[in-house]
Amino acid sequence: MIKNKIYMDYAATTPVDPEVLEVMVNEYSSEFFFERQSSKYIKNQIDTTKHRLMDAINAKSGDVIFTASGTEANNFAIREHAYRRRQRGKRLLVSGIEHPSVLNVFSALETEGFEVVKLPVSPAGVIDLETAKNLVTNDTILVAVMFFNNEIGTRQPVEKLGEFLHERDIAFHVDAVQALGKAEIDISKIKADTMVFSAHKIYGPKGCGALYTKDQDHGYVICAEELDDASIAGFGKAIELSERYLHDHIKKLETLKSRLINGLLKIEAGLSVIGEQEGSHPAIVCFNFPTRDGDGLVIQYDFEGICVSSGSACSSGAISASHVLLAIGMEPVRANRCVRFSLGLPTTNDEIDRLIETTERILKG
Amino acid sequence: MVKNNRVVVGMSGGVDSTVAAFKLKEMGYDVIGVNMRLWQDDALEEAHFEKDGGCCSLSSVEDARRVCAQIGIPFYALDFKAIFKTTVVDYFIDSYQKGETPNPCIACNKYVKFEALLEKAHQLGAYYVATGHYAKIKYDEQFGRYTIEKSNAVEKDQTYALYNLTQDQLKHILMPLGDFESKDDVRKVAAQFDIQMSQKSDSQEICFVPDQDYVGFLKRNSDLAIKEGAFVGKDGETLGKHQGIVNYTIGQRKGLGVTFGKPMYVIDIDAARNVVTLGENSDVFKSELVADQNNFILFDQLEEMYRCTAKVRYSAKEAPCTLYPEGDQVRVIFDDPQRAITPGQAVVFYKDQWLVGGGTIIRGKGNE
Repeated sequence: MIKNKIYMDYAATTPVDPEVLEVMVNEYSSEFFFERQSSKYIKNQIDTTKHRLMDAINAKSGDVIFTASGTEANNFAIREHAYRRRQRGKRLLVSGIEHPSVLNVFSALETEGFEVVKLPVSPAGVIDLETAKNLVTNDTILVAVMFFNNEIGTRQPVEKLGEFLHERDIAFHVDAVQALGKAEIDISKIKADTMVFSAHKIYGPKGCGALYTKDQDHGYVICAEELDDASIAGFGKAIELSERYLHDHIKKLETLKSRLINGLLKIEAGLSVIGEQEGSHPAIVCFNFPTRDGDGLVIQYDFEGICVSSGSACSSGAISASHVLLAIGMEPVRANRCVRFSLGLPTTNDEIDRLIETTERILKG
Repeated sequence: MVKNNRVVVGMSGGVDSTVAAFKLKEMGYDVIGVNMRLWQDDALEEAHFEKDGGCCSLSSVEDARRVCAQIGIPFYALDFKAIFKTTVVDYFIDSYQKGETPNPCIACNKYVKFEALLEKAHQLGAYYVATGHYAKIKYDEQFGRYTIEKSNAVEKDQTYALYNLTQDQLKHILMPLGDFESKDDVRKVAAQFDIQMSQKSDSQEICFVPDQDYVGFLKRNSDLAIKEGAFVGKDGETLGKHQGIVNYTIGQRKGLGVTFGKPMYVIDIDAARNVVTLGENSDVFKSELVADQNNFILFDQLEEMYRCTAKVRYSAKEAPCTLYPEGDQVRVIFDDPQRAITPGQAVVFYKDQWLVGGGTIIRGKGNE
């Protein structure tokens, strides 16, 4: 008998919520086709989602630009900051544990003549605030630090850093893709100039990202007719649901995560949790397995019908030592021996228990 | 570990590995397809893409994924970049640094395919690793050992690059293509699968240098000083200027960049003095060589003189010879002089259908 599959990779992507799907199906249905063709209708849909997102992050002003993905939003924002301010300086700071969709833009800018400096990250997985402040020089024009790290779940001190940068009028970009629906996000405290979100991480559709910009008078131009208003409406529904139940969701996920952590540590196979847990993402936890390579474990879990993730999978699907784990100072051999579990709203206690049993079986043969 | 039926097959998406995986599935093994992601020179991304035949290109992953789906086996891509870089690419560079001509396929088999991949296979609970090599691995009662026999498809035989395998490795390796009578027979089996025809390149070129410009590769990837130096004759007389020793291999005639009024061949490369010695065709033939880093399949160690045949490179013909143990080294004396005995290349020994063993040539000698 084949057991039900268990999905524990919600930080990668989530299934679409049925209520979100219903909104989208209605939008796509031919009944509404003519109505949907008016730019007023489209603008209305976009505005609804935009205001839901702004409410969710406590933004009183600013604008939201919808994109095809979080990756595209990161590209837009980072490039725009750099190009706009290039007369003022050429120094860009970025944490070494950012998502590739951020880091790769900085690498590209480096080849265009910008100076890119990586902010050091402690072994606990958090950027060192004082060092970061010291690296901010007169010709620094942009700093990018994520809210939650996507591999180890650590919370970055974006409020403190944002305050510091705001006083010095330096652009601050925050990739908050993992944070929406998982934490209270308060832009009045973070003081970010731009922030990025993605619908498919919060039970919304794929192919829909959002860029919040504090500046109304931004340089981003997106033609409304090219946007998929059904996706944006779906994103809006997903934001509505995730905000309405935010505290319940966080509590539920944190409880599941503790069950997972306690259960895996109890196996007594030398497993350890990577990254500080205080204030961490409620549903992401990365474990080090002292004797097993992450890629082998992911495959063994796959044999058992459990979908998890390890390190950074490249375009081929092969798993390499994660740049995040290397950036927090882990030796490559150890970095290769880590697996990320990320839980979601559909996760159950039974699933957690089955994961723990399966892990024990794999490790103890 | 407990012997079981699970086997990890290295899949390039090409004909040979596809048929190997298919045959094993037919034979009742629990087969897992794996594509090994190997280090590649960023500057050659395009050449890798165009070639497609090398085992490193991204589209080869998609090809492998597709055929695994057709065969009905699970498929995974695995990262072997770091181990490939240190054991194959760095060795390749070092070898040129020493004025030798390396054979990276042998290093890849030894350290990557049958060591790193085998270890990974064990982690996946598999007893075996399999590849699409044309060679036969068996346990042979008369020797009390695992042996490697030449492929039935004589023209495709790939035992030359397998002499370095140990008994512990052989115990865990399957090569189902060894029993095929010809590549055509393999192609017939492969016809039912959706294999890209561009993947037909069977050549022995170096997979991580798809544009074949290994001098350019060395310039980009090593701090090797490629310095001009002297071409000299057998008696030490200066004959001209060479473009850096990495451009030359023993026996080479073309591309010397200098004309001498008669055909001249590279007969020696001295890395320490940065000198390339040229001679006539007859000077390229030598009757003796010394090899080190030897490994034997049919027995543990060479303890006394041994009659067999040997190949001094992949494309060479087997030639009758006698082996003499000399400490850790082996002296090989051929019945007839052999062309272009090249330091860095492997000398591989055979007896009838069996692969006896082999070693790395450190110098050729004789015929003086």
